[in-house]
Amino acid sequence: MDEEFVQFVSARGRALCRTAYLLTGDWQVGEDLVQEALTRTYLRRRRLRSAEALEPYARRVLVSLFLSSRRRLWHQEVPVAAVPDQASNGSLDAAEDRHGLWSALMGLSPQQRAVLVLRYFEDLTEADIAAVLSCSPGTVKTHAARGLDRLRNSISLEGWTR
Amino acid sequence: MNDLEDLVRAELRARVAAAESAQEGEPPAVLLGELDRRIRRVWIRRRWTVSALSAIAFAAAVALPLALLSPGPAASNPLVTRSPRAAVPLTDTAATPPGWAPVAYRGAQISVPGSWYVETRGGSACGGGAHGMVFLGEGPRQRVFRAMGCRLSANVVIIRAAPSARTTERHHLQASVNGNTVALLQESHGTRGYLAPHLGVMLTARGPLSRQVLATLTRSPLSVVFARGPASPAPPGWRWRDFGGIRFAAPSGWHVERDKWWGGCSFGIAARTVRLSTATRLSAPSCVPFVPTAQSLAARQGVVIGAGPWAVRHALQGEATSCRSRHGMRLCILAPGGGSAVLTLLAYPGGTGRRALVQIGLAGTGATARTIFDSIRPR
Repeated sequence: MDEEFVQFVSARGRALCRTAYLLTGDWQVGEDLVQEALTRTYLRRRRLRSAEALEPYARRVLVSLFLSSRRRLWHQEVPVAAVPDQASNGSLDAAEDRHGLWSALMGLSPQQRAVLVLRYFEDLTEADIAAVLSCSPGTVKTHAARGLDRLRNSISLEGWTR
Repeated sequence: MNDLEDLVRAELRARVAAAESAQEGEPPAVLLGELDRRIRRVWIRRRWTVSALSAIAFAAAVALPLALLSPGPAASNPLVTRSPRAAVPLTDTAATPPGWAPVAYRGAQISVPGSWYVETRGGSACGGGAHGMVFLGEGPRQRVFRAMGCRLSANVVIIRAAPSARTTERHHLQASVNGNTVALLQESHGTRGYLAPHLGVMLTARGPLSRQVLATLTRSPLSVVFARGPASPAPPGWRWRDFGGIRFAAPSGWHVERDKWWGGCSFGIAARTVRLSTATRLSAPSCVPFVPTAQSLAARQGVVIGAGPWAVRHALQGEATSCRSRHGMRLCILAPGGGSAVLTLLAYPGGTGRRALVQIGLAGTGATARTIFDSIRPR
């Protein structure tokens, strides 16, 4: 790897892992997605205009991999064999799920979850999110509104303002 | 902005903070190391693809004029009818970091630091002072281990046969490790692991290097040899040899040794060597105690043919797991002891009366071993 890319991964790799964790709900699976996204970014780095373009590109690939992996799992998830123990559902089994919000977030559609993570964790604008998801800002608004609606209906607290 | 949005924002940040603290402060170097391996793998795959495409293009360029000139039908030309070799998945050698050694069991291969001990039913180093241990075939029966005065190391890896498909169907998360789909096992007391049913194993690991070891999982060369797919023809640079009533091909650059001895202290197969032994005499010297480290047990590419009585006696001590007929010759596969560094076969080239023992080193991508296996036929 060249020096510039090593610096980029050292500086921003962890941040991408955080986003990936929020998308997948599992740190290891998220890290695997990040590595795949960074690998693809590295192989395309010469076509990117500047070093500043690395992170947006990596994030875009990451989200795209997440969405396509969800689509693949939907079709491919078949019983493969016996597992002696119950599989892990992440490293925060014992953590308190305040108001059921985390389970509600994990229950959203992949697109809705991606929009909410990018908007409320990454603090991206609707235009930036649209660029990441390769869709229009209107579609982003729709996903965000529907996602929030589903959260509002799912969680145990009441009295949310629109 | 409203209360729900604030709550979502706070929840996401709290979740990330909790997840990060559970990751034991993994340094960026780990991410970089694994990323570097992944990038190298992609480069190797690309080179293989380019080479395979070039080979196919070259073969087509050669075969097409031959087919057009041939009086027979074009489909009879083996260059045209044979499927590309790339169809068989290979062992990912890039998954083994520098300084580490591969350890194979059944259809799976992992890599560990070369100094780690490999514990099998047939041999134990009793923990010693190693930083890690790999148990093949069964777990560390701790009572027995303690009764023997042995101690487990800081890193313990266990590869055993996958449980039967009927045990339970509860699996939630699947992941892809070096192209192999695995089910994640529940993490408990620092032990994490995978179930890889298509490789026939369940893999668990605990200790500081557990994640790095799990990330090296790939298919074993043994599974490459027996993978479904087109037979691998011997490349033009290989040399055919006749010995012990059988005919086989091996790379022409390999060293050839001929002797009459069987047994001795040296372990396994000499690298890049074709050893042809009449095995009429038994060598039974007193040997220095052998320390079974991953490095010392690592498979080497090579082939041994033992044609005499001592080799056959050695073969008959093993249990034949299955027999098949290839090129009109009966071949029985003998159960490997411990790991899968060597494929041992008993060949019957002239009916049941004549027998020869064949050992093929299971190293590298498995492609060489597969080609040697496919080449074996009666003389």
